[in-house]
Amino acid sequence: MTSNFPFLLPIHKWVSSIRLSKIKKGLILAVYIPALLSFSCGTIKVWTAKSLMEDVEKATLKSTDPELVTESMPTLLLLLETLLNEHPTNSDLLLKATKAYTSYGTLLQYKETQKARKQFNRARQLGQAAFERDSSIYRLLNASYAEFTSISTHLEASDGPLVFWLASSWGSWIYTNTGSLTALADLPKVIFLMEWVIEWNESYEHGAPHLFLGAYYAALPPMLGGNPHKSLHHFDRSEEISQGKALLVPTMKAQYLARQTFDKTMHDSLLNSVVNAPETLDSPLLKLQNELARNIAHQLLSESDAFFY
Amino acid sequence: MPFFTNSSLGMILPIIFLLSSFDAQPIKAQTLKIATLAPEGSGWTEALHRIDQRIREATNDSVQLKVYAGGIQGDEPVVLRKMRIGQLHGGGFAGPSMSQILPDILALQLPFLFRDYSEVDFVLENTKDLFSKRYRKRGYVNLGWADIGFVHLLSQVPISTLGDIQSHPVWRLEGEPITEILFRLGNVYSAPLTIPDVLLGLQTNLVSVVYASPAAAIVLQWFSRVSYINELPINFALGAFLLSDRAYNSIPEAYRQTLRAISEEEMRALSLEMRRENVEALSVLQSNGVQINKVSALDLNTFEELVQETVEELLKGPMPPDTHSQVQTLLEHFREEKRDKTNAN
Repeated sequence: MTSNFPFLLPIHKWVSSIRLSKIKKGLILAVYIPALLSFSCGTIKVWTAKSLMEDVEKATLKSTDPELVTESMPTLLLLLETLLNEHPTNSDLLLKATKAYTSYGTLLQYKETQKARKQFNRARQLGQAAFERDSSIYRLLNASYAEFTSISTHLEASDGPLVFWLASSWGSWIYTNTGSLTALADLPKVIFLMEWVIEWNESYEHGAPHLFLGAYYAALPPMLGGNPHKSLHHFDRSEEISQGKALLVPTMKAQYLARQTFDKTMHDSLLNSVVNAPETLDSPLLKLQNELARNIAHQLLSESDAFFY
Repeated sequence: MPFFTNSSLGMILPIIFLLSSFDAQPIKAQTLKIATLAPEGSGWTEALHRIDQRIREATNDSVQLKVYAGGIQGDEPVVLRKMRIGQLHGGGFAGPSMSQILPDILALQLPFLFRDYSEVDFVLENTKDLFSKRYRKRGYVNLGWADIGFVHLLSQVPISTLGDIQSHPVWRLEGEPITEILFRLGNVYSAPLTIPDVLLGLQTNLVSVVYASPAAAIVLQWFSRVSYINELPINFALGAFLLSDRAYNSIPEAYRQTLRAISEEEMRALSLEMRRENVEALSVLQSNGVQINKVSALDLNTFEELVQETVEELLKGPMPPDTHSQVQTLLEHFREEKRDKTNAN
């Protein structure tokens, strides 16, 4: 497992339905998507693709096979890129593509950091491109930090989802790119945006903004800006918002906070609670995320003795 | 994960002890536990992982490193304490601990000491034996210096004169003797803060002038709260990869020199990487709106006079005069030779 795990992102949406059999899914990928691409009317294509994606998104959340979802993602991304080629300013498409690339990067990052970084970078580019519709915001995204902070006077509630996904992808890109000072210099902006998201709606995506900041404050040593107390606060808030149903919360708390504070008891206890959580109790919309959490928890537990030795 | 090793020193030592009464036993693996504040993915940890890989290859896995990155073993004073009780064997040091471990380091940290990297390299190369012996006396083995880089003033307003500095609250690293004396003699109001508190200090205007290498200013996010960086480097910051003497002696003798050679080579590579990063960082700072400002020659003289007074006070206190004298003599020779070469051309 890579040690460069990005800030946690909810594992989502997108891609193949696990409710469907693999054969049915294969049919969708092989027949339905090419059929979509053959439509001549751009509007119909966008509308149909959007409809397909929403169906797929709902179904994917109930998936219990992260690997299968990962394998299916490139097809969806190809579809999105094709549509974006024809409709480069379509806000809805840009948001969906930002989410899709971020989610794909998150699924990849455990095994293929380099490849994950590319997805996060593409997501970040698309997220920024989505703000081209507002020249003030777009300019501030690339301004100095002192100027950038006035972005909050331009952002509106309707920008919330895009701000979250842009900050998520941007933060994950930085975290998989720590060798680049140019990337690191963007970090204060990402934290600012995620704090704005918390002000806007701290419960978004089952409390994911808090999870992001929980991981951020734990991932760095205090000397470099980390803060275990703030981390704990954000993890706890995320736990409260998700009512203990999102297993990625204790998993990430173990991976970041317990490891950073070198607390093996906390680490193993949190991870054991994740691996022992019965699948039957999973909330339908958290099945994929929880399955991924179990996989990570198993991996982290297997490394525990070596890490804390 | 690459920085985990399989064997435990706690388990191995009793085994070695039991086997020591038998002749011709194979050498057992020696795992050196090394801590650093630098996070995974940073130049420091990458260098330590490279040392681990190379020493494993060179010793058939008889010597290996387990790296605790990102400060998970605590800050530098905690790491030192753990080294003393044998819980850790070494660490990457870069903060004020450097001069607490060995006050001779102060002779290398004086403001305006080095003018460029050629001077740094010359002095470090020619004081290698001196520092090596001094570290051994204190119970440490220096396995290589690593640059942090030339340190610059970062400020919310342009700083060009001593008067400018005197008009604004300046950060001072808690427990660091040079700045404590320098600012006192210069009538500069300074707020002693630990490094983690500096960002908040800048945000709340508790301090408006700080100092760091360009790369550190980015990593620590201080650049986001300042508008200017002074072109003139005020001093040169240095880190070191230190091992406890006890841990070093526990390595099979045949492998000690191998470890030292590999480590010094990788630390040198890290220094060169840091030099490149600091150049890049200066340009990243500018592209993020931080402007460069200058100090006039006249004010440079004022600063240098102040530094001279500071040196005199340091020599009466923590800084060993012989080390200071040797560093100064080396620099004079180097500059003379450089002048002669220039004149000859």
